[in-house]
Amino acid sequence: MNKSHLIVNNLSKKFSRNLKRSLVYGGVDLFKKVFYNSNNNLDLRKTEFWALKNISFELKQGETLGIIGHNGAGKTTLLKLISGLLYPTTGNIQINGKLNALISLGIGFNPVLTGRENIFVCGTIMGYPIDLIKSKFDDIVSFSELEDFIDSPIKNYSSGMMARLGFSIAVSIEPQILLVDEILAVGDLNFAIKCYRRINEFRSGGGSIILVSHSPYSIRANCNRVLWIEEGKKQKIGKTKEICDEYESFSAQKDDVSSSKTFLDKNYIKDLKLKYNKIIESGSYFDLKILIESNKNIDNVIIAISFFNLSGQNVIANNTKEIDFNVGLSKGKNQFSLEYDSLILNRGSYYINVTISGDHINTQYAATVNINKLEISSKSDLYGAGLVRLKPKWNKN
Amino acid sequence: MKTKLQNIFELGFQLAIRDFSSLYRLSFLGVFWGVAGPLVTSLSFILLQRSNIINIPDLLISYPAYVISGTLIWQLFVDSLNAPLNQVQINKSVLTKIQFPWLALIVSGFINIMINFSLKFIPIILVLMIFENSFSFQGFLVIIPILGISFFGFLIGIYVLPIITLFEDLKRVINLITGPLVFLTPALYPVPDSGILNLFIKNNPLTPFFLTARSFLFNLNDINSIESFLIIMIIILFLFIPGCFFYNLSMPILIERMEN
Repeated sequence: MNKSHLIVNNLSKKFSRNLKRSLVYGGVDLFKKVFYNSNNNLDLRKTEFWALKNISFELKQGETLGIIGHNGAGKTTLLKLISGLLYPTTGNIQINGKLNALISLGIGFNPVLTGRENIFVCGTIMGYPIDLIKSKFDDIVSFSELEDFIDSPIKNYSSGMMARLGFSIAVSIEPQILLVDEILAVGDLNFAIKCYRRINEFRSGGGSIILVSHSPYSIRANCNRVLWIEEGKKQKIGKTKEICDEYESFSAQKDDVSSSKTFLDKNYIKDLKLKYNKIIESGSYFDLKILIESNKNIDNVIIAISFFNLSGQNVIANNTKEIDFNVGLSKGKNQFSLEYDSLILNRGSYYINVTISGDHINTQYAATVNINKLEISSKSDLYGAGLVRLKPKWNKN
Repeated sequence: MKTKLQNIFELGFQLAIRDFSSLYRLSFLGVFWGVAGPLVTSLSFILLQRSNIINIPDLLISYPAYVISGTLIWQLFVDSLNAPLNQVQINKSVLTKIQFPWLALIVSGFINIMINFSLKFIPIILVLMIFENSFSFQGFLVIIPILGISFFGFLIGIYVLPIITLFEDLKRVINLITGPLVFLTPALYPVPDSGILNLFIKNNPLTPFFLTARSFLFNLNDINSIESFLIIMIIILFLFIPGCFFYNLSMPILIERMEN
């Protein structure tokens, strides 16, 4: 049985919403710590709130645990508590092995110093002895692909080059536990692939990873198990597929309430509605009707449709201009239909946003924002984590 | 324990190299700026004394030697006092992103201050010793009161760090006090024979550091000041270890507030 690399037990952390009070509480807490050796204040003082409350979980060797939750759920606070940056109000964390937190890349970099000098500064800040950094120096430089620039001041580096150097330092000297906060996509595509490959090597070598994200896509692609937290509390912990499915449907309901609206310029458009089948199978036929009630005759209108996933990525976008479909609106009711022979979106929740604009894209008459939800289902459990699902023909030659 | 201490010193050394290199790479005149401040203060007082605006009683050494050595030592104390806070502020972005041995910041601050101080102190003092005809190997013992006054500054800096980090107003109070405090030390003039200044300067725990340093530098054999200096040094060293514990206890609370 795999041993535990990390045990988090009943972890809670409170903060104050008010800066001045937070400073005063800081003074009081320090006084108590010094003179009473105590900081177990379980009562919330004025303006305080629980950023995390009673979080417990375990990370086994070789496991990748995803931590998912919306903005402000407490994911980063949890990561900072595990990495030792913050002290818990109550509870404890047991770490068995060397832990490295990739919360930010290139910590301690000084822009005036060269890449070579910064490797030593950053490496020692990360807790590695100088001799170890010296022995890994060539690996770090070659992984970062910065051989020609290593003796230049890093203020001359691009942000991608700096991130590459930071990532290389962080992963070249391997810890047993890696905390990652949505920073894997560093540099160009080739380097991002290299990073993922290095992370996979780390995992297959027995290393454990905690990956924090609010995107279910990166969690699905990388994690064995998922901890879902919301408003500082543990919602659920379990298998990636189950938790991500639940999280996505929860997100859809939450976003429905918070950020959905229809924009109408009443001088032109009275109403805009969509009619479609709300749940379809991935890869199946999909049709949609756009019902527009216009207050006047309008020539040369562009109708655009976009499919957004819950991470806010625009996955599919089409408009009438791209196929030279000349659209005009007559006063009163107008109806347009749109058909996709095979909607290849991957399983999950999406928003269909429609925009009606003039010939110039800045002239917007009407738009729907995150009110028309579409659920794409899949009978198969064997689906990838990509945005779309194509059905290629496989042959053995 | 040994590995932990080794990590603290290794990291402190790396951070000191980083800060020192970046400071001097951006400046054409480098060390001159460190020397300029104390020299300008000293020259002002020398001018005042030569113009008989201030009346300095007879000294065992020349007034320029007295005032230049005094201002350099005073500047070292002020720099050491401010070093813990400066280090925390310079490394704020690191402190809020990664856990590392926080005492390394104190080590780094100390190394930086000692390097900067040596670069300006050694050439000036060598010239003064030659002019005063007091050059002797006993002069090298000045390193003891120099380290002592720096420790004293760091000790106060460590103990006030949490309170001045949390409360900006108190930082201003400290700045307000340190300015005029120089007049309550024998940095610019000797201890008066009587009056309220005599009372303050005589009982100021900084006074023995100035007197002992000058005693070593210029062969003055001031035994009384050396005795007081040793007593204060013992107290400082005794308070230094609890100071380090206090610093380590306070840092998580400060880091949490730095993120606000």
